[in-house]
Amino acid sequence: MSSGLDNKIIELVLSALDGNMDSINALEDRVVRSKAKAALFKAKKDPGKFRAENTGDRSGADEVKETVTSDDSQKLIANFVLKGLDGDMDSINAIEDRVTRSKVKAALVKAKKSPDEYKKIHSPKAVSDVASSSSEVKKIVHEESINLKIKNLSVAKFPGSVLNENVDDFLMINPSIWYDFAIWLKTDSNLLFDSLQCQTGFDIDGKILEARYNLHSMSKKHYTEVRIQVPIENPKIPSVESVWRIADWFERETYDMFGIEFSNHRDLRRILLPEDWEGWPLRKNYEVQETYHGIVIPKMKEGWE
Amino acid sequence: MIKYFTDIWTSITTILGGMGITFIHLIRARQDNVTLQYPEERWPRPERNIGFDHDNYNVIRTRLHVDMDDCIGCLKCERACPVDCIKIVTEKAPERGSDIKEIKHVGVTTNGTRKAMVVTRFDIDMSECCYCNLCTYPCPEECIFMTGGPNSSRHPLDYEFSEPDRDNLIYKFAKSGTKEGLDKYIGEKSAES
Amino acid sequence: MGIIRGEEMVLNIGPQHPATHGVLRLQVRTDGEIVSSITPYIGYLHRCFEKHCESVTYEQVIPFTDRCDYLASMTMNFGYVVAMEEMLEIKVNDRVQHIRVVMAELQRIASHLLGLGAFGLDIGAFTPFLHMLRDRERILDLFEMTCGARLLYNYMWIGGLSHDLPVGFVESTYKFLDYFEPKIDEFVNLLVHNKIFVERTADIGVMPQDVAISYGVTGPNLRASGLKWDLRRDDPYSIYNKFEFEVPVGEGGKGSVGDCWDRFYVRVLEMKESIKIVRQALASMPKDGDVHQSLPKKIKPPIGSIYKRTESPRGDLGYYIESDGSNIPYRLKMRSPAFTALSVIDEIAAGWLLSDVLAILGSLDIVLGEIDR
Repeated sequence: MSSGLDNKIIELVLSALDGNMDSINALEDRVVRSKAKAALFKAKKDPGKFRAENTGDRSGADEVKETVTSDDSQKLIANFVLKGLDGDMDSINAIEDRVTRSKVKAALVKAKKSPDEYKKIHSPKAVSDVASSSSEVKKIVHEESINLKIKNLSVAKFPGSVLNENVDDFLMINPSIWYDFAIWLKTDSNLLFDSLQCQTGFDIDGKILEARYNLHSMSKKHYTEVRIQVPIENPKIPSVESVWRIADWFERETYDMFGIEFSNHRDLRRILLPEDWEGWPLRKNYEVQETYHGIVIPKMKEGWE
Repeated sequence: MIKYFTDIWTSITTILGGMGITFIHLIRARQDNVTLQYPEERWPRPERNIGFDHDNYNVIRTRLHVDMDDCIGCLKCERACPVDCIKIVTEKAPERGSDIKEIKHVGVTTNGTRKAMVVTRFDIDMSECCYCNLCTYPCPEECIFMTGGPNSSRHPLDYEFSEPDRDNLIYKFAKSGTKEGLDKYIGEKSAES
Repeated sequence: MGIIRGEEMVLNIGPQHPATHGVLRLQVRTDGEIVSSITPYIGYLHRCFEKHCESVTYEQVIPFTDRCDYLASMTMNFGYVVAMEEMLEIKVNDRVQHIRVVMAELQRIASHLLGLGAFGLDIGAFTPFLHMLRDRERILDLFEMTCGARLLYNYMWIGGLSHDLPVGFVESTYKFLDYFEPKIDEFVNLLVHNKIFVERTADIGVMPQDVAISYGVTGPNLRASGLKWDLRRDDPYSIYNKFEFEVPVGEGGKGSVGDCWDRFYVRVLEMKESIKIVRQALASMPKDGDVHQSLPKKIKPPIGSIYKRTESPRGDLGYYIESDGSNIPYRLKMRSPAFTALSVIDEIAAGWLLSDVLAILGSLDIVLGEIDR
């Protein structure tokens, strides 16, 4: 928040809070003037806090203050929502700050869907062990999720293959045993993932490439997501095109766009772009080549700057 | 053997059934005709009844038009365009809300907003426009709209705007000579004071 | 007497061809008239949709999703909007849901009309094509009344719709449905049972069920092979679980299960089911409700990813969206159903005659804009 502003803007806003608007209005540069006015508008909501943050030590106290205030505000919001669930809307409507009031109302709408669970989680005495109680509630409501089941079953056959601890959303698999793991996922009678729905590539921060597989089971109606990470210098993943035949074209497209090489693929070549195109387009650091077979690739239409 | 004859019978009956339908259409040609004879019959007033009244249309997608007198230079339409076909350049007006007759700049819009900016360049490239209508929603003064249909009172329908040269499809809505006129005006004013 | 030398001939069904439903190049190796292998080459219509979506905001992606499958734009919008609303946890009101279902089903009828007409054209039947287009014009007139556009609508927005239904829409739709139902029977009499057509398409290009599942083929192509898989029934989204409709499955009416005639006939039956759904939706549509009620002011989804699939006229359309907390998507991938349908052509068309290859390609009902994105 305040750490991003320039010192000059902070001085101007402080003087404006004292009542002196001329210094801001006299600024020549339109951009700086608008930034100062925006900061002034924000500061006017809580002038004391702004002054305290910007006249004292700015570097260390900010982070501490931010975490403290966010915790406090969470408790505050939870208090108001509990009051609202009991029927007391007056205290919510009396909140001065528009942002907090809207946050409280949004949380109230969500809480009204399952009021008992909310009360259980957010009532004052259970605040300390919020994490364990909400996960217990989740466990009672849902059965063991399919990802957890896969992780438990795979410990015997493929030890050390599932690399992530929290398997709620996806499974991170070791690339070296991916081919055998895929065959096991397709043929095991508990799982029967016979359909590969979607396979894409991802570029994470320019250092790691990831391939993601969305697997569905037509017979058992469950689905999972598998992610495999490889470094960008040497991206090689075993190909599963003999397991699910559609992986043939999906992997060609991922190779075309990201440059991930799939070993043991029968015919890995570009599918959407011409065969002699250079570069991997969907990577974040991609630069279009200047010419292609002598045709100059234009960056912007002439006469349209 | 029997299959041979049943095959012949099925062939004859199905082919004759299909040809019967086509023959009926040949006789009832005028009723089923859905083609509009273009230069003589033009939409929105075709000679046949298409079943819907043109006044019931919600919205229409045609050429964009801008009422320059209403534009306050907020740049919201430029940001909303998905293909970046709108280019706007604005300058600060010397006095907020007052007319500048030299460049035909009107200071107050029809909704009563006082303009703080003078628009010196407002180009829309209709050859890039994808007619998605996303630029008309954010405009606070409703000055950018698609011609015709529900907006016929402000600008009649205009769908025959093809040009032989593609550069003629860049529509310049800002009044010509605005930038030089504005610089001259500011120069004169500061010379006076 | 000399020895007749036989070699494989390499033939190009080139990018410009009236029967390839777009710009598609098929390199066909034939031994005489019998095809031994087919290699499709795609990418002629690649317009960098996924890269471009990484530089526009979430609302501005919607006109681009229209242009991927230009013959079924409403369902493309629908799939994206459903995925985004699940990510942002927005609930829309009943009127919006009903209108969306009506538009999606009308779009399904329109897309099937064009697909069936074009299939007849490939086989050589020129008349039903114009009959189908005439009826499709009526549907496009309905869409024009609502949102102004006839092909690329930009109608379904995240959290609602762009415009409410105009006055007179419901009556016009009922009039259209009453006009259209006998036309399906007329079409069935004209083409479906015609002996020449049956000879051309029955028992050709049989796709067994396990091949279809392994190749990821979904939609009417999979239903024609005997498996009852419809996302509106098995993984319902929006309010499809409130309507009663059947899922037609191919039963080998004129030949084996899973041949071209089955893929064709399943689409005809699906049009009838869509008419039923539209009637139920119009009857139960609430009269009041604001379509702009739940439009969010700023779209900034939480960090995470989602994969959501919906049923488009060609199969399972899936959107994989990953966000990093800003108002611009980090990565957006569209899993198009026609991409998987085209990949199976080598498996099912090898070994048939050259004219059968075009019949098989027409029965898969592909659109190149969706394959190349």
